[in-house]
Amino acid sequence: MILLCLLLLSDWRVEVERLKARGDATGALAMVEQQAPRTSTLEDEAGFLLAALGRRAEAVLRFRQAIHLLPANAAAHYHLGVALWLEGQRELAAKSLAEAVSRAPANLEYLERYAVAAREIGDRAQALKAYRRVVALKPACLDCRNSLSFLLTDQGQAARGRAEAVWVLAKEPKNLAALSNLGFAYMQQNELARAMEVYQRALTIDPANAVMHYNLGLAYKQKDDLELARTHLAKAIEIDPQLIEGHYTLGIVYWQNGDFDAADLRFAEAVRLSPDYAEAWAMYGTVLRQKGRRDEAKMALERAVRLKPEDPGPYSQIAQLLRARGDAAGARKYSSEAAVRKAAKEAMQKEMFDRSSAPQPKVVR
Amino acid sequence: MKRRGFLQSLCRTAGVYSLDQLLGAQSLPVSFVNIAREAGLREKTTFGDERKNRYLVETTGCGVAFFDYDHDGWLDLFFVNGSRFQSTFPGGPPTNRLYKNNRDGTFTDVTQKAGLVHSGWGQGVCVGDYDNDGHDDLFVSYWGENKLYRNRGEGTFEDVSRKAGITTAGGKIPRWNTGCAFLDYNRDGLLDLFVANYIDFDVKTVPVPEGGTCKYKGLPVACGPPGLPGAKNILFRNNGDGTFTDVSKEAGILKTAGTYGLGVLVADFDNDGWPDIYVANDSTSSALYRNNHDGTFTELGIQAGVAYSADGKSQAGMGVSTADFDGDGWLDIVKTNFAGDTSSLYRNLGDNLFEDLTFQAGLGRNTRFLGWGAAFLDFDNDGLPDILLANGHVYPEVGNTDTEAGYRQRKVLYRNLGASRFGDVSTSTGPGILEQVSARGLAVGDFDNDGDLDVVVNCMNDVPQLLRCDNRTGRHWLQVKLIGTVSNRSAIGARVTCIAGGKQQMNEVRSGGSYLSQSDLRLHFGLGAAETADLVIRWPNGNEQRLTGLKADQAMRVTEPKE
Repeated sequence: MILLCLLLLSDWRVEVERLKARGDATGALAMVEQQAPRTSTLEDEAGFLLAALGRRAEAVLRFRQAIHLLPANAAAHYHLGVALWLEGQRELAAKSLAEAVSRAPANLEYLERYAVAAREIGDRAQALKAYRRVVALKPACLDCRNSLSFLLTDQGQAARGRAEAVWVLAKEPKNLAALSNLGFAYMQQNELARAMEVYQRALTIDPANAVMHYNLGLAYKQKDDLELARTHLAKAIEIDPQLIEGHYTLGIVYWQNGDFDAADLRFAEAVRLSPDYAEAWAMYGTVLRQKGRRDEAKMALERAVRLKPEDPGPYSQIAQLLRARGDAAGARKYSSEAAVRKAAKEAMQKEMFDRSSAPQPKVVR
Repeated sequence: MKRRGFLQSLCRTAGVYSLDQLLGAQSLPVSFVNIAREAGLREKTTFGDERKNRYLVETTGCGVAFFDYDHDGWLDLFFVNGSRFQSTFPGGPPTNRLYKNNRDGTFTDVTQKAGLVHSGWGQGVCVGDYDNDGHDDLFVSYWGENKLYRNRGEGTFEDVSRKAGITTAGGKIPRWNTGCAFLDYNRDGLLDLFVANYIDFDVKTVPVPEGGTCKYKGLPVACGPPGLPGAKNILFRNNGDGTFTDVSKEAGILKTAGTYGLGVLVADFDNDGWPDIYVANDSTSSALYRNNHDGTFTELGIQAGVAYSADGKSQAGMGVSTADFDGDGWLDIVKTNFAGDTSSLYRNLGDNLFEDLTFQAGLGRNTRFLGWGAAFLDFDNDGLPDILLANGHVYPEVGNTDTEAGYRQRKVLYRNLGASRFGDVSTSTGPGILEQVSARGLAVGDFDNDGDLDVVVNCMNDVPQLLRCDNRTGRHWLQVKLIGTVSNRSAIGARVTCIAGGKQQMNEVRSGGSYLSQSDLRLHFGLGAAETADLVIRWPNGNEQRLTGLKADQAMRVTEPKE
């Protein structure tokens, strides 16, 4: 069979494959570059070798050339997608990967890569479609089923998401990602007690899992058990001090308890870790205002406004601060800004009747 | 337990509970018991479908009034009733109900005799003697035509709605009138009427859950209010001849954009002697109409800091109440909101400025309840106004899910601990607080005249609750019924400052409030250990009257001096 394949390949290809097998990408590239006429396959191969040599920008150009020569070249679309992904051009990468999948629908590698990309760029509807197909082609893949489980729940199909998680757990009872997904599904189905049970089970398997502590803390918070919420959220950030949502949510718990000093510290840490976290800046400003640290509050709220100008909350708080300072004109300006943003938000709501806005649990991957 | 063990356990406890929780949870010799059935309150309120609602109008429920319609010194009860779509009502359509207090802990249904049989989508109720004839009259708001019932004084009422000109018919669609209150906004001695409006709601065009766009936590539910047009509130001026004129436009009420108005609260928030109006709006900023003393109002909810939550967000305001909870001489506000949010407590700083004190005061810990009726009441007669909140989810579809407190929810009772702190004492103040219903309207009054404050609750598709307060604290109290002569006869808007035991409390005679409900027009002051009290009454026309050395534990009547 191998012999037959070799016979079918032209001499240059055999040589290129031999050089590649030896790890000589430079030699292989030189060999490819010598070939004529320039076909889509040659350009794709050159791009591949350039990418292997770390010359990604040039590689991208060659993949594009390959596609130009033969738009149906699925491999070129795929390689372009991967190269763009590595270049950080995620949206474009996902588009190329989608092209590859559309040209070669049965190619599992393309499909898996596209599914991951779609999920990562937040196109969860497309990711769900892709993972459905991946699981159909590769039913024993637990990671794929975990991804599918999360996406199903995320897209409002919590019962199906739960079923996928249960399937994985039947095969692998200590699969933390599956437990995380099961908890998420229960949370979405408003079954808080069951979600908590699942997170607790996960913590017996991995007591130092920050995300599970975070999720359990979030569940306790939703149950208004602020003491246990505080315990688990504090544990989460002790284990993983970089867990931004942990700091933020713990800040909210302290705030709810009226412990503004502790809340202040958590929000400060959240914005230190994530300087573009508008909600955390808004809460930081809120708690500083409530503590009477008006100048700092104003700065934090202004930062929130810059980061998320459509949110009316910080404007109205700045207006309050200015009014307390005796700046009636400034207060009026910010009040009217708040009213404008609020009107815009409400106009959006005309198409959006959903009244729920609970925070989402995090998922273990 | 050995001393060390005790100290260790105390330390552990201190780590788990805050001081307020420990103080609040101390066993109180006060208990609320639901005696509705024994009292003869057995008729269910009908409001929309019991399991699944197609329209928002099926979800909001209605109010209840404690008022002494026959002036016998005992509080009677009036329950607003609703309706149901596509229902034939074999026993006849649901009607509002008036129950006469039999003075023995029971009530008799006198609706028919009183001439108050009426069906429709009833909403709010408020009481006031609009014609100054000495008999408190009754206003009932509707999704549809409002009703004004003149109290004839011999146990019957006359429907004077059309004659008085307070119906709101005539538009293309029925108006959705909600909270209401009588007030003398121009201080001419005649009670005017404010009626909040919710949504310009057209049942023919409103989106329905089957459309798939209206969801709550993934459940298809009745659509709105976001996305539906907010309605405009109404101010009716009393012409003094039995008629009213809609002065909403000239009074500046219509300057405010259409909002989703529900609970109405009238009080003199800026201590200038003129009644202001606060409206709890659903899903948008709440409104504070400051009285300009010239027949107009200026809406300054946002500037005053009573429009949003502490973090500047719109809330789903439902019910409202006021009291000077911190004894600083300024009336503060409590407002109930949606599930996933806390109730709001706004401390009045004076100069039309409020501070959101929700979290500092200890009201930030409960977010699972969806609040409706709200009342400041001194349930333990210690002289500090406490807070009672009636709860129940909007959507029957949430059933018994445990992410929130379910469709049927218990009440929340916060005890005022002093120093601007409240402790949640819900679990230690009797079964009546813990009984789960889908509550809406709530009113407060001492129906058995035993010196403590009882509570009545109108529930969705259920019998009402009558929560008798059994107070064994031995603390003293004083109840004051004011009768206006120069001012309106109900003395609505009169402010009474009560000084007892070195402490000062203050409240006003108020129409409307809570969630679409009417509490007792008599003022109740808990006196603690004090056996006497002094009163300073500021009548609605501004005149002041002082009464000193009043004996505690009495219900007294004070008539406004004519000079």
